[in-house]
Amino acid sequence: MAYYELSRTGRTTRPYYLSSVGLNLYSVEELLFFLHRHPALIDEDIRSEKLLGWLAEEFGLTHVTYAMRRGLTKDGDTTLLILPLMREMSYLTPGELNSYLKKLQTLDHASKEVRLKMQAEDLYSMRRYGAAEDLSREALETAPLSERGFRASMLTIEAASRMQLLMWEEAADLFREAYELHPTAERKLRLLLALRLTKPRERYEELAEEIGADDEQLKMVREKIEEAYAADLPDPDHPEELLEKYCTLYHEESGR
Amino acid sequence: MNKVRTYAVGFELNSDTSQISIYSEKEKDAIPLPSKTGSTEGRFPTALFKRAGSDEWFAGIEAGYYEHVEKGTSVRHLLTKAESGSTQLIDGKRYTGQELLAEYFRAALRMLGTEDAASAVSRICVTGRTVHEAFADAVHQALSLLGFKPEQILIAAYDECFYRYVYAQKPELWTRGSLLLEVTEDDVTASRMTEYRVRKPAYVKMEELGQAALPRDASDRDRAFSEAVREWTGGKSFSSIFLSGRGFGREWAKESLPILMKSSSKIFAGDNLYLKGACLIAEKFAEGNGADERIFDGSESLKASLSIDASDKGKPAVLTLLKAGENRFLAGTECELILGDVSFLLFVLTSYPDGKRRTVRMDLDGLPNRPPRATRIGLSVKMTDRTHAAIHATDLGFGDLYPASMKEWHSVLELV
Repeated sequence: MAYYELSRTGRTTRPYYLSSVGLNLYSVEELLFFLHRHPALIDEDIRSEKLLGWLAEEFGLTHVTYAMRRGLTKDGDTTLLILPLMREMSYLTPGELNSYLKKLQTLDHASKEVRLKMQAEDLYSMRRYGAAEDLSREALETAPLSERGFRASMLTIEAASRMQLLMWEEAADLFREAYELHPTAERKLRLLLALRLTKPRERYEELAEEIGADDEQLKMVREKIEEAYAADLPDPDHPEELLEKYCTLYHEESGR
Repeated sequence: MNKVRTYAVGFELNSDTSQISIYSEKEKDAIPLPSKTGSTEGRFPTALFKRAGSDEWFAGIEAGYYEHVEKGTSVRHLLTKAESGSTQLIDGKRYTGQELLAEYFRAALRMLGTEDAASAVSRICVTGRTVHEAFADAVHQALSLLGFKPEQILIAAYDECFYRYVYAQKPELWTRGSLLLEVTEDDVTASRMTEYRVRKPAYVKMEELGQAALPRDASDRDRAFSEAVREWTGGKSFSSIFLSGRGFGREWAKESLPILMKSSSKIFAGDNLYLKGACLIAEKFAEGNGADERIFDGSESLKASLSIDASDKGKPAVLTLLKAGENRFLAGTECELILGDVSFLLFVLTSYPDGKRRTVRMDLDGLPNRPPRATRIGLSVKMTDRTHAAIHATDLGFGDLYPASMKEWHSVLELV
C-alpha cells in the first residue's frame, strides 16, 4: 500500500445517503472504503440507479457507470456492479481484489442468518449499535437452535451493542446467556467484565466464583477496568465527567 | 453572450517612477501605456495628490499638475509609507500607507480606461527595483483594497521579468545566452543569462558579472564603458545584448558601440524591459498556471522542489508542492491527500541544479487512530522567505465515516 494516495475526483457537497447505516458519502474514496470494508452492508442503496447517477453527475464517472449498470440487471451480481469502479480507481491491489471478490461470492452464497451476523458485526464496527442489536436479534430468531456457537456469537454482539447503549444490566444478562450456551475463555472474560461493571463488588465476587473464574482471569478483568478508567477518567476526583461523556456518546450513537 | 474583455497588466513600481503596460492580443506583446495622451513617454512619477474637500485622488503626471494649481495634499514617499505601514493625516482623516498605495493604484490604473480595475484586469504583475516581503505585502494589501483577488496579483523581481521577456522572443535571441547591461547616469551593471541544457528540464541562470563607475564626461564615459564590457564579455559572443535604463546614449558610445556589436548582432536598448516582462508574466498566468518548461535560477526563485511520492489510481505519482525555479512570491499549494498505513508526512526535497534528494519527515502526533485510507489530510504550503517553506497540515477525517478532528500540525522546512 502506498503511503499516500491522491484524490483526483475530490469531494462533493451533494452526498449520497445510505439509509440502512445512516451514512452520507461525500467522495468516491469513501464509497470504495465502505464497499471494501463492509461488503455485508451492500444493499439496495448500493444496487441502485441513483448511485450510478450520483457517480456520473458529481464525479464525471459516466464511462464507469455504463459498465456498472450490468450489475443492476435482474440476474446481475454484486461483483459486476462493483468491479468496474474498483478497477477504474485501482483501489485494491490484485491480491486484495481477489480476496475481496471471494468474500463477495461467499456472501452471495451464505445463508440468511450468516449474512445477518456479518451485517450486525459490520454495523457494530461502524458504531451503529441500535441497528447491530436489531440484526443480532433477527439472526438469533432465524438460526437453528442446534447452532449453539453461532447463537452465542449473536448474543455476544447483541450484548456488546446494549453495553454501548448503556443498557448494562441487560447486556450482562445476555453475556451470561451467551457464555452458558457455548462457554469459551473469551466469553467468560467478557461476562466477568460485564459483571464487574454492573454488580456491587461482593455480588461480583460471588458470581465470579460461581462461574469458576481463576485468579489469572480476575487479574485480567482488574487490569482492563483500570485501563478503561485511565483512558476515560483522567481526573478520578471528578467521576461526573465520565458520566457526561457516556451520555453524550449515548445520544450521538443511539440517536435517542 | 459577448466575452468581457480583461487585460493582463504589467506594473513597474519604484519609489521615484512607475510604468504600466497591457498585453495586446493583436500584437502578441506587452504594450507600454503612454503616461499622457500623445506622448511616447511611459514613466510617470510615483506621486499622489488629493484634492482638498473632495474624494478625488490623482496619480503621476496629473498629481504633479494639480499640486500646483489646486488646493490639496501631496503624498511623498508613497512606497516607503506602504512598506513600513506608516500613516498620514489628510483632510482630517488618517490614512495607512497601504490605503494611500491603493489610491495610487486606483488613480494610475484609470489609464486602462476604467474605474473598476479589479474587474478589468485578469492578472496584474507588479515588479520593482527592490522586491522583498514588505513590498509584496504592501502591493497585495493595496490591490486587495481595490477588490483584487489574491490570484489576480503577481509579484516578480526584475531578473525574472528579464528572463520572461527574453524567452518570449525568438530562440535566436537567447540560445547562446544574453547579456544585460543596466546603465544609469553613474554606473553600469552587467549580468549574464545562460541556459544549461545538459539535464532536463533545462536550467537558466542569471549571474552578475560586475559593476563599473561611469564618469559624466563623454569620452571618459565611453572608455570606461567599453573597457568594462570588454572585460565582461571576454571576447565571447551572445545571442543578444539588452541595454536597460537611461544612462546609455549613442552620442557618447563611439568606442563602446562597435564592441557591443562585436559581441552580438542583436542589441536592444530601452527603458521598459522589466515592465514588458512583468506584463508577459501576467499574460502567462492569465492564460494558464504560468507553468514553465525551464527552471529559472533567479534572485527570488526557489532553489529546490518539494514533493510527496504518492499513488494515483494505483500508479506511482509525484505530488509537487513547490517547484524549483518558481517565483517564491507566487509559490504555494493547497491540496488534499489520503493517508495509507502511516501517520506522518514524508516530503522529498530535490535541490537544483545538482538534483540531490533528501527526505524530511513530519510526524502527525495525536492523529486519531483510523484504518488505512480513512484519513484525509489537508495540506497548505507557502514560502515565508527565500529559503523557508511553512507547511500546515489539517486532519479532515473521512466524511461521516471518521469525522474530522481538525487537529493541526505546523512545520517549517529549509529548502536549501
